[in-house]
Amino acid sequence: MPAKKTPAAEPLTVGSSEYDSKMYPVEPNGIELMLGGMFSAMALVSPRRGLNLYESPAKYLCVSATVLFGYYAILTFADIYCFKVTDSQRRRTRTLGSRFTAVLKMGLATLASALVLSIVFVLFGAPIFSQHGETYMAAVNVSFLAVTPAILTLKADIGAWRKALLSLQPKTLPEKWAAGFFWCTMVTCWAGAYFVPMDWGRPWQRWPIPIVGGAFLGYLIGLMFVAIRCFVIPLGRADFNETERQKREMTRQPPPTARSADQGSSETKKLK
Amino acid sequence: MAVGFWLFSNGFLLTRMVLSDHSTASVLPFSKSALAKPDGSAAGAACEWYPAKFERAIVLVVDAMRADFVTWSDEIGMVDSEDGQHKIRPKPYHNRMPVINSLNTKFPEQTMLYRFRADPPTTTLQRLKGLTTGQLPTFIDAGSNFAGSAINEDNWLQAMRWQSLYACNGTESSKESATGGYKRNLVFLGDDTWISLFPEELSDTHAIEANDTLWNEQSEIARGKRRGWARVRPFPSLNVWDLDTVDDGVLSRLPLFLLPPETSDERINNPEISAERKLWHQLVKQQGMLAHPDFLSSSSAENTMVTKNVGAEQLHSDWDVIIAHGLGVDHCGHRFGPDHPAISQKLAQMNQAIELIVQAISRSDKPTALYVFGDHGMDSKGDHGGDSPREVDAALWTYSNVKWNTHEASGRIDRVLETAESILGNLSLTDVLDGDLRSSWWLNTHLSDDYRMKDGKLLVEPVKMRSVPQIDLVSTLTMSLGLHIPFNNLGAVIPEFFASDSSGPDSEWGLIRALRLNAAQVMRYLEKYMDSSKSHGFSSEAVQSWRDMYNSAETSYRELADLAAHNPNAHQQSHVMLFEESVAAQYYAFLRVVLGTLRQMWAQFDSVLIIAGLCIIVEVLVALVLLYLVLRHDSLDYIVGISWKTGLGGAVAAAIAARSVAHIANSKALSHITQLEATAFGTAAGLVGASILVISLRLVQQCRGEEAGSVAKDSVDDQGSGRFIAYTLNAVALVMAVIHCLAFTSNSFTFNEDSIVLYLVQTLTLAVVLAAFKSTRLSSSDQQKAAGYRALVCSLVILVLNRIASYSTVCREEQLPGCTPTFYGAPSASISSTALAVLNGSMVWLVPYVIQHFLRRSRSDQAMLPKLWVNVGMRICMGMAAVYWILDSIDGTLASEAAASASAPSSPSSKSDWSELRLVLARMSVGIAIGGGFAAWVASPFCIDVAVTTVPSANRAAKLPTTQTTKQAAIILGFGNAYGAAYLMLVSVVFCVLYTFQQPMGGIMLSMLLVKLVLCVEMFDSLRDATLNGSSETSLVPAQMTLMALLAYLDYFATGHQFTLVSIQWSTAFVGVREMQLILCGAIVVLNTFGSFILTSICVPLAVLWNESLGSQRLRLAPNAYIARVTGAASIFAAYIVLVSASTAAFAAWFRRHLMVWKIFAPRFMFSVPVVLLSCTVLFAAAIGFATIRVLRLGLSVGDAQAIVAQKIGQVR
Repeated sequence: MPAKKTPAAEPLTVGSSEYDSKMYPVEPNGIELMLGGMFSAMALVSPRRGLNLYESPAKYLCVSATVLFGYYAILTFADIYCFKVTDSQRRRTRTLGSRFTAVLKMGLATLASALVLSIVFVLFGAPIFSQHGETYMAAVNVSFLAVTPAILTLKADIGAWRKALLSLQPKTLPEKWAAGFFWCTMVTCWAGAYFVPMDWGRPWQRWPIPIVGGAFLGYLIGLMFVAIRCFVIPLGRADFNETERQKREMTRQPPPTARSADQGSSETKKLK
Repeated sequence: MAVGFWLFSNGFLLTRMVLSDHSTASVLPFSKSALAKPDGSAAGAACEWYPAKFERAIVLVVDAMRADFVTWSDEIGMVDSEDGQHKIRPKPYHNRMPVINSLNTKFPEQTMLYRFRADPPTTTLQRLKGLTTGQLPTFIDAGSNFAGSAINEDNWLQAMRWQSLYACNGTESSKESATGGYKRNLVFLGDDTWISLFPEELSDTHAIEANDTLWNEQSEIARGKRRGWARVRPFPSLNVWDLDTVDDGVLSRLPLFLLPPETSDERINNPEISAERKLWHQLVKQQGMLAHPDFLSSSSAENTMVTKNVGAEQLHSDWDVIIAHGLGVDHCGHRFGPDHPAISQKLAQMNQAIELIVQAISRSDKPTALYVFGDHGMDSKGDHGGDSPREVDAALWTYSNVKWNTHEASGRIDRVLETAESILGNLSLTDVLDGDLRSSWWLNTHLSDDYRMKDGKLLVEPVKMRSVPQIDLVSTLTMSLGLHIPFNNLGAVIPEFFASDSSGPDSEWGLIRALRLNAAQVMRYLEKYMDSSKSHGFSSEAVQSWRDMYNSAETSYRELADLAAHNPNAHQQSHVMLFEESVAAQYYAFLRVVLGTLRQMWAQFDSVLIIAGLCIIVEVLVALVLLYLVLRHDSLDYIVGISWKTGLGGAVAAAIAARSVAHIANSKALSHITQLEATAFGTAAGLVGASILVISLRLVQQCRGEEAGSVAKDSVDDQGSGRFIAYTLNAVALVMAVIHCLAFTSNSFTFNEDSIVLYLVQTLTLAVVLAAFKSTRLSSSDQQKAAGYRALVCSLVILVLNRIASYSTVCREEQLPGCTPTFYGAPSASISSTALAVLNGSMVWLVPYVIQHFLRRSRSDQAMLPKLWVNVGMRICMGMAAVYWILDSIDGTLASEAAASASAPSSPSSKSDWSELRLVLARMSVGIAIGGGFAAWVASPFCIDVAVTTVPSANRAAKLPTTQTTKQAAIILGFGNAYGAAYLMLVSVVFCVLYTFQQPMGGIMLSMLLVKLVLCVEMFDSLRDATLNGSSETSLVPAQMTLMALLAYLDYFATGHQFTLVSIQWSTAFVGVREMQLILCGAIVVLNTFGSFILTSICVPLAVLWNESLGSQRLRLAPNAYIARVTGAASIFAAYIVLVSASTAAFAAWFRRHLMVWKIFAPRFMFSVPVVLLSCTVLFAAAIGFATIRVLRLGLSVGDAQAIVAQKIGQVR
């Protein structure tokens, strides 16, 4: 779906160079979603060679988490995650160092949120005194899928997190983006626990495979959901004759000040 | 509601009393009056009921051998045809046992093949019970031991064990039985299920023989009291994937008994026998089995088959009964299903084994019978357990080396059976009888159905064969071996076995004699059963018809006997023979009617009662929810006022209706619902139904009124999102409730209920965390923000405490590999470790501290009652309990150590005796709680005190400037939370009592539960403050009650319980009790088991009363509405518990034919009944009816704050 819509979005964004100096309400381009689907599939499938998910789940999950990290690292480094592709001016001004720092921050924030998530797993009944590696690696995977989109779009603003994830108020596109991935992944991950107590004796019922499987499934659902919510519906509503200003209102880009003030993302812990 | 459960249980839990009486060989089953008759010649002196036809018997059970596996059809060989689209090929399980067919045609007078109909459930254990006792399967065999699976009813294994084979005199046999020892030489090989059923009867005598010097005493007396030996070789039955081990174990050992022992002397060895031995050896699939010591030379010390007294030769020549049970076919069905080549291999193996057995017994000069049968069949997937035709139709095939089934006799049998069938057809009770009891023939449709063409044409014609119920084997087997019929047997003898004989001094027809004995035995059982309990449940018509049939048969028999007495050759005359046949048919019909009636009563669920019970439970559930909804606006008095008249009317009307409907249902034999049950159903259903009607009408009225008024009070934005929080939380709670109910759809969810409850509780709590987090920013004022943070902290603490609670567990046996029991500290311990007991001691400090901490916010902790009770009384009380458990664990550890070093007689000093001290401690603890705490609470529950200060306090405690002109201000301490604190005192008293009866780990968990409950109350109160601004429009009550109920379930598991009977902590019955007292000990066990539910139920009103100020205007203006709110909350709590139990009941009924129903679903349901009844009683009677009303009444009467202030200030001055 996102692939198809990309060309439609293209002409709108290309001819907008005059707005480059200002904060321009950018259009999403869908690259992230395509890449996201590809990478999450890769993370699920590719490490299978030489590694056995059932025998050493922690190792396997470590590899898949690395793949996911690679995906986010590329997007963060290129500064094209969620809507920033046309913000070429701003991208040009960013130094190599600041890009590396952004990737690093993203990684650290994800690991920290994974810590919180693994505590939540334990609270929900994961083994306390054993299998720490499995639990944490599962949490890292889940947090890459669920929390990192929110980290990258919402930054370290608790108010924004609260608004994006916990309220019914009308949301901006980044908030929709974050909420879509977060809730889809989390709910499916939660439901994945259904398979843990069953007595079927299948190898994939071992902790934490159903959880992570659920999270991946939820992420893929989230991709669809986000694609529809952030691309299809706005485009469907868009009147192609309308003015740029109207478009700007439609996408409801937040003011740039809120974006630049993003530091210390470890505070996101509070939100699990 | 209780009525609902009662009805459901009556329909669902099939009960039957177990009578422990035993038949004895020396006493014939006739009643005394019959014995007094001069013609009862065989009675009195005889020691056998029926002269033995066979001296030896081999019982070969081929598990899951379905009727059509054994039958032969020539047509199947030609079936290999293609029918256009789909091919029909011979099934791999047909025509695989040719030996049976060939023997049937070669020796028709020595063989017989039957369809062997099993009574569901078709599981091996239940079937073996039926096949040995002759009883019908019911699941709660009242009076039987719950834990042990050993059969204590009379059965034919016991008969073999106790009854001496040769001449017996009435007096001697009873003495002999006391000395023990086997009378018949018994061999058992195969499925170890038998061992769990008959641990005593089937115990190997090898050790006794080896040690007992008396064994080889050669005296006449010793010979007369021959001590039989037994060889028992059980093999594990549980590994379904293993097709061969059990069969190999059986087949490798059978030749030890069937073939003469190998000798080194080549000349003696018969070549024919060595060839057979070779064949036997080839039958064993895993040749490694033959390396077992059993097959070593008899001189070897390791060989436990032979002893000095019973050598290899005796093993061959002296056995009397061999029981062999092979599981290969069954396991093959479970693993591959019947449509798999493996099954043909297994059947071929069995075929050859049968062939070899037949060869062996044909060689023997003793009359020997071989019974080959399946204990059940298998369905088209190879499984069994249910009541489908393919599962119940097994096969029975018998062979003997003597002729026992002559042609003339079979003609007579046909006539007997036809007569019996016509007698049964003419009875009014016919509809009671199943088809298989009414007709003695059956068409082998399983064979033909497999070869049905698309157009419905059958390639193989169904064959007519004889059909007998499985329990008929019991009387047949015992009588043909010359044994007595087990006391409880309900089966009839299979006529073929006795019809060829004539026995007794006047050469009576054997079948008549056998049937008469059988009928007399069944009648004796029935009379005894009816005598031993009033509530036997037999309808009087049925009893009357049994007696009539029996008496008429007896009368005809006496006529026959008279006829025979006058005419010595009567038995050859054809009219006498016809008369004999009609008498036999009468007995046979009587036996069938009894069996049919009892089968219906004991082996069939009464679906009408089940549905009726469920209806009432669901009605109650609906009523509770509606009650909650309607009580949000109306007072309780009003609702009761408008509904009681209608309810009463409805009850009377429905009771009358139900009685008449029940009458119709009974007359059509749809159900055997009794009048009492019908009345109870009608009353309950009518009462609740009519109340529902009234309440819902009222609710509709309310809604209309609300719609009209709702436009005016459209809320602020802020309150809108508060409402969003409330709705979301309630929705999450509803989802949790639904999931909890649906968990009972699966056996793995049901036995993992502890982790599921944790998952649900944590989800709900996490939702509360998020809600609290959201509310911290949502709210405008600082106070609200603080409340939001308070809720956040509370919910986080609850999250952690829940996880800790779930750490403590006793594992169910189904969970075991993946679960370590932690309740007693160490995985294998059954006594709490001392460390845990000491840890439990820390609760003595913690719990009062937490209570005081919560009271401190409203400064209620300064008052007299909390100071005295919580700080001192509670600590003493809990401290005593903690010391009690520490001593208990020390005693326990010492005792177990002493037992470990049991070799030396334990010195008296090491046997520490704290028991007296413990007794005192436990009693004092409860005594202080009730006599001190409770009495103080009753005297003055309020935690209010007045402090006179000069400094105005900034605390939340309400500050009342007094009317006095002094500069001093009087502060009423504990004003803000007056009702809540007062109620909390009661909760703490109840907690102390419950705490005493918990094991150390349970004590810790119960303390945590109390903390969690208080936290939960505080949390929701804060959340309400933070989001809803105290508006009563939307309510958090459903979410809160769900959370509390889930906490109760969680802590039920945490306090070391599971929903199984074995997990009940019986040892706690003796806390503070010296000797067994049924009621007291029972009450203590109940308090221990359901402690978490009692504590939570008591806490429910706290949810409403908490932080209710003494001067609350709302409360003082409308106290009735207040009680209504408490009742509403309670009804939601009760609704949750009823919902869960309704779900357990519904799924237990749904899975009533499930393999695990008696292990998992039924116990879960049985536990949910006391949970509901106890919680509701505590909730509505104690918590609301007594405590809340008392608190409110006192509060209102003394609630005039001014008066208190004036009084107190007067005192201060």
